[in-house]
Amino acid sequence: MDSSNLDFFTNIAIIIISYLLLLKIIPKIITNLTSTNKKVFIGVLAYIYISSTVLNAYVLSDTKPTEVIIVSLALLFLQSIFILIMYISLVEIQKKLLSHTQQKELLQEKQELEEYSSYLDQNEDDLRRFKHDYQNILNSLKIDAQEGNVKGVIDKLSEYTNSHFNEEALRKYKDLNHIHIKELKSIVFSKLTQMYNLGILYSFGCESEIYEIPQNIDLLDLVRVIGITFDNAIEAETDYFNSNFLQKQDLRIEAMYYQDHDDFEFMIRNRIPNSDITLSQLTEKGYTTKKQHPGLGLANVKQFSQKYDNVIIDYHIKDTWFIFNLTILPIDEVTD
Amino acid sequence: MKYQVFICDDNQDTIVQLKHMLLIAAFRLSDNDSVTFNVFGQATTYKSAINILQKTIPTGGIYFLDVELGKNIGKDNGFDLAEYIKQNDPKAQIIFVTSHADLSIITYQRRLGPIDYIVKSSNVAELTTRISDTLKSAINYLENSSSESANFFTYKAGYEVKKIAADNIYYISTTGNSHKLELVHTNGISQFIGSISKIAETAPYLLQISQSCLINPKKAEIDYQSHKITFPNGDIQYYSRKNSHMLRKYFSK
Repeated sequence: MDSSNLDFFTNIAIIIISYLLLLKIIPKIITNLTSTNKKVFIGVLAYIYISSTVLNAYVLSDTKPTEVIIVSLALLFLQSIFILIMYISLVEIQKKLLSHTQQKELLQEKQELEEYSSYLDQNEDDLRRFKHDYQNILNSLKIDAQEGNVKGVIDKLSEYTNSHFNEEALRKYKDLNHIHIKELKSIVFSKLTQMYNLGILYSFGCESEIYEIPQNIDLLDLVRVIGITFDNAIEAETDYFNSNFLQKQDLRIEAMYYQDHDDFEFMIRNRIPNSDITLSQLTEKGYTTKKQHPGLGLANVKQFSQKYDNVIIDYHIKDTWFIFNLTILPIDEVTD
Repeated sequence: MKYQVFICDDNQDTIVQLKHMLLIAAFRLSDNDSVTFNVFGQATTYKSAINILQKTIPTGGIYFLDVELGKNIGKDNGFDLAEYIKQNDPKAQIIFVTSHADLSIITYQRRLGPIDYIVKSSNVAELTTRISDTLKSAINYLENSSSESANFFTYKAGYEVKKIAADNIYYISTTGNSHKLELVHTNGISQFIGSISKIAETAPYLLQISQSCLINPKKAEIDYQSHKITFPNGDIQYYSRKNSHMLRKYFSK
């Protein structure tokens, strides 16, 4: 009687303790069940469950457990612990890796922001200086004009214009302030900086204020494609320059974002030599074939178009331009 | 030929300079056929330009417009004027005059259709040449569009209506995506939303060779053995068996 009472109490104690334990663990289990590693976690749970069931069956079928069973029981138990530890450390490693790439991205973003804000500061200074100079110039012009010295007026004006209005740096990141999607802004920013540093003439336009694009598009996909097409254009221009097909002042890349109704359009074009270059030659050389990764460029762009029904692409040669065009239609435009 | 020209620039001196250059350009562009430019109107503000154009607007005029018109940024500038002109003179040849070389001209080409531009420069000789060249292409466009009988295939890429000379088409085929078609032509590829059967109805110069493909027979080389059609760029399309009789008949002509 005593032993059965004891059994009863230990059973109840076990249930209560495991309930309390579970209460603490359940939230963790839930996060693990829904995280990216859910398959592994379920696998681990299944393994523990199956092995304990098998053990249970063994122990119940034999009233006197032999040494073999005890050993295998111990082994299974150890294995379960080992697997649990493996799983936990795997998750830890993943977390570390993720935060590392996130940090890198953040760092790059920060650098870009700093560069952009210093550019804005610079503009602010120039504007203030202009305001200051303006009054002085006006005064001296007045004197010249009163004396009828027209040539003096013109000379002074043109001197000032040349030194202050032709500065490319002043218009380096024109229209970027109209893009209100961080990812789309930062890709253009970094590519404009690259072209500026390479000394390739470029223009970028974004007339409309862009707050959103059709929702089904993964921004990372889009940014990658935009990056690739910028890279292709830059690479093509550098190639034409190095192989003497184009002079430095003829190199040119023009790009734009555009929004009509609620679509999103991206276009980029780069200058090509005036000779009879066919598209297949171009797609072989400047456009699709990168030195290290043959054919990577166009393949990625095509993949992007295939992934989304509402993405249409267009690339062709016209006059002395190679033109690439990407349009993302509102989703309801293609599903009818 | 006599061409109607309109000039709008907030600087009266630029207008005078442009008029002068028009005379030189007219002289340069005249060969057997004498070319003259008649300035039918000039304005220094958006408002006065609209006033003039409301009274008289030609078809196929040439318009020199200052981009940075007036004080208000982004309002009543050259582009708004251009939009008005395009609505009232669809054949208008618009040439923007700007002081900034980094003007995003493609944005305005996207918004207004084909337009040209010249960058103001203190080098008069260079500027005159540039104006002559620009006028030459404007004249070419006007002449060709009036005598044009060539066939065009038009399609809608998003909200933009595009057209391509029918002769330049290689083929139009379906893609893996629903409603999305791919037009392959001499200069590249263009995707758009549409359906093969509808195009087959409206474009009789294209030949339907299967459920998924229309070809331009003028650009196609047919191989009866393997049911294969090859295009000048090396692309290959296969035709369905039920069409072989029709194709044999068509190509034997």
